[in-house]
Amino acid sequence: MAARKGSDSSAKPGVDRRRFLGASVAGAAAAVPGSLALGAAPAAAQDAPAAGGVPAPTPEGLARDAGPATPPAPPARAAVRPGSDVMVELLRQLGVEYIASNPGSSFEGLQESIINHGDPPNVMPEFITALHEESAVDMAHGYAKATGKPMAALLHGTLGVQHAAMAIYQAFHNQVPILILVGRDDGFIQEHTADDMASMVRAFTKWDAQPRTLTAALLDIQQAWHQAQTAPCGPSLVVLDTELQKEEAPDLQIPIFTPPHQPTIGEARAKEIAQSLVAAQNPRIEVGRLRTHAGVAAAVELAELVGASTSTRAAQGPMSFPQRHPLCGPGEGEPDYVLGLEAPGETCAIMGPHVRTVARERDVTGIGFGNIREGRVREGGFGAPYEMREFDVAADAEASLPFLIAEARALIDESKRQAIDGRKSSHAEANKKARVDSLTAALEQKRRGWNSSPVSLARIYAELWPLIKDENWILASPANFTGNHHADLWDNDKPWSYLGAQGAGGIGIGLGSSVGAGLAARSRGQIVINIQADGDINFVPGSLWTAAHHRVPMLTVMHNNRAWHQEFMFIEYMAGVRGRGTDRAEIGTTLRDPHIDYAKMAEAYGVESEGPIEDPEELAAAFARGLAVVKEGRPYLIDVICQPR
Amino acid sequence: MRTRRKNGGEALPLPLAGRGALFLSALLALALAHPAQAQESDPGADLYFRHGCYGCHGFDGKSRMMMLDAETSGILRDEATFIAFLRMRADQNPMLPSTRMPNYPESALPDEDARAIYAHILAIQAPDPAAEEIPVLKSILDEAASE
Repeated sequence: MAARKGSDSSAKPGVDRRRFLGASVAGAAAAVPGSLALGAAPAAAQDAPAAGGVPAPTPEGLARDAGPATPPAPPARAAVRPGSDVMVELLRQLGVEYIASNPGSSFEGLQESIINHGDPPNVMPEFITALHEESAVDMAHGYAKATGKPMAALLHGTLGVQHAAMAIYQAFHNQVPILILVGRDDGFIQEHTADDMASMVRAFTKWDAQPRTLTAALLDIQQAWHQAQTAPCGPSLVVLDTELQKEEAPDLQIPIFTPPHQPTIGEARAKEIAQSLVAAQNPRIEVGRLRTHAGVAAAVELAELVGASTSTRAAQGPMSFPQRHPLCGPGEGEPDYVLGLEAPGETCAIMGPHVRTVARERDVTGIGFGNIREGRVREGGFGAPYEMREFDVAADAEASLPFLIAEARALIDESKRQAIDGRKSSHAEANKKARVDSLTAALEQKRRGWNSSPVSLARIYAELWPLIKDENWILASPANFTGNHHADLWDNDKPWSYLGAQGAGGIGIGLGSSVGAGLAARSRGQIVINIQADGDINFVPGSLWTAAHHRVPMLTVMHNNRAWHQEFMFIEYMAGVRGRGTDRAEIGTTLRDPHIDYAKMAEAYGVESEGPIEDPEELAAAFARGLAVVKEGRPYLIDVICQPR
Repeated sequence: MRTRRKNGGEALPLPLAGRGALFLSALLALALAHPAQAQESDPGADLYFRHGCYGCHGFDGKSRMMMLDAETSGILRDEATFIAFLRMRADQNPMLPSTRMPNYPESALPDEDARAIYAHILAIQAPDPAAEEIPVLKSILDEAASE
């Protein structure tokens, strides 16, 4: 699980970071002649200072990168099977559906293979054009939360990695599996390359490698795919040199790939827990965030098998128990055995490792990896980290569920079956009553300001529900700044119903991750709802164009309060504490003078749109118009002037 | 969309509209459309916006974060209590970001302005329809009850 600089690197524990990087530079320099053996020494390298410093880009290099492109001299013969073709074949084998990228010279070989190699070409993976690398990784973030599997993002050298850093950071904190590929060109603009490319994001990347041979590159892509999806999931990164992409490999076989292996519960503990569940008079299962759709289905199977009441995090994020399942809720009576699945359980919890723990453990050199905080964020929400107890099980709950189910099933005879059926009926009745009671209380709040203009956020969610409830929908945007009204008003019953918060609380992710979810949706008969905060969309609005270009079925409803409103309130508080008044808190926190016209913004990017809407009576008809377009496979944006919260 | 002049100078656009709004919004909209007239009828509307009361309480006092409900709020019981509350805010911990109620000394918000804001808050106390009178909300509740 240790991070690696290169596949054949042999970095030893005990070196400090400065020495570690120094050794890397020396190692890379020694390796250059071999790794560049296929081409002539680059001009920039020839002009490099004798000792230290980074050579300036050559005029030829800059002209090619910034000006009219001059194609490189053709090789002696046309490519037969370049290394990048083999990489694409591998990505296809792994089932990578999409690869999002903003074009860059360091992966021109791989990009050319993606769009031209295979029959049909540009399928599995399909090249998704992103207008910013942060958007590319955000798309992969949203896709992974919707599907439970990674897609890929392709970045250009140091520039792409730095542009993507924020998105990688949030994916890391959200434990989202993403395959990140980075092009590296040692013979071109030196500012775009680095000896240890991943070092800039290693503090918040689960695993990385910088292979030096084509075979190693294939193995490392497989390993990154494996690492991204094994508990704890997280973004994993492989650096691919241009020379590896262009290297001829007519006979190279793709190494055999073993599917990811998850840490599971031992047989004895599985038997013990199953016995307890079946013997209990009133078992309960607390369900946190599992990894995939299959995990959710298995949790439902176990709960139904033993007649356990359950809790869910489906209103907080993806891959949890169906919110309106008859067994989901407080249940009837006091439980006498409580099992947690990736969630605290009073009696026992099966909890997989957290990616931050892995990051800490891999830090064998004590170099700190940027001192990323252990943090208090779990599953995209804020809260205390879980402290494992001696009777808890450190294993992936999803991978352990089949063993629990098998053991429990073997223990249930006809008499137990009758008791379980009776218990299930009692729980269903109690949960229905609890649902109606809590909804009644919630509606008492949501009716407040029903006719207000600017529009209340509760009304937006309420007016949307009758129009989408019979669709296969995904709420892809973080709802924490728009009131979380989906939790009460919508039925979060699918593993992909609500995709959760940003990861590290950073804004700018909403649009990109919604487009990524939309990419998943478009091939699965789903639609995406994106209730889009205005402050968030302005970080990387170019994903609107990606949505239009790639026909993403996404309805965007602007939560346009013309502010970064949380910060507005912070400044108000600070000014108030200092006794200076709050009448200037708008400075630097609001988006006024001029107002931003989001309908026009969308139109400029090729997205059909309307608004701004200020009258709440106009919402339902506008939503219906938008959804009609979305169901035809095109994005639509509705600008709504809203209450602050 | 209307604009509001701030401190008698720069025009400050406001996200407010009239159609479909109840009395409270209409009153504020009137204030925003005709400042001079508003000063006479409800100067508190301008002050409510300018001092950012809407930040937590909503443009019409109905934010679910902190609704201004004169029927249930002891702070809104009378003008003196309201002004005393503004002056007595004691949570002065500048190290932590907070969205709690700011402190308003008289130097930042004179009594006269505080009284105007209080009057405005009382003026915008308009009833909302009951949940069962709102078809969309009623249908959501009915569906939950019938499942």
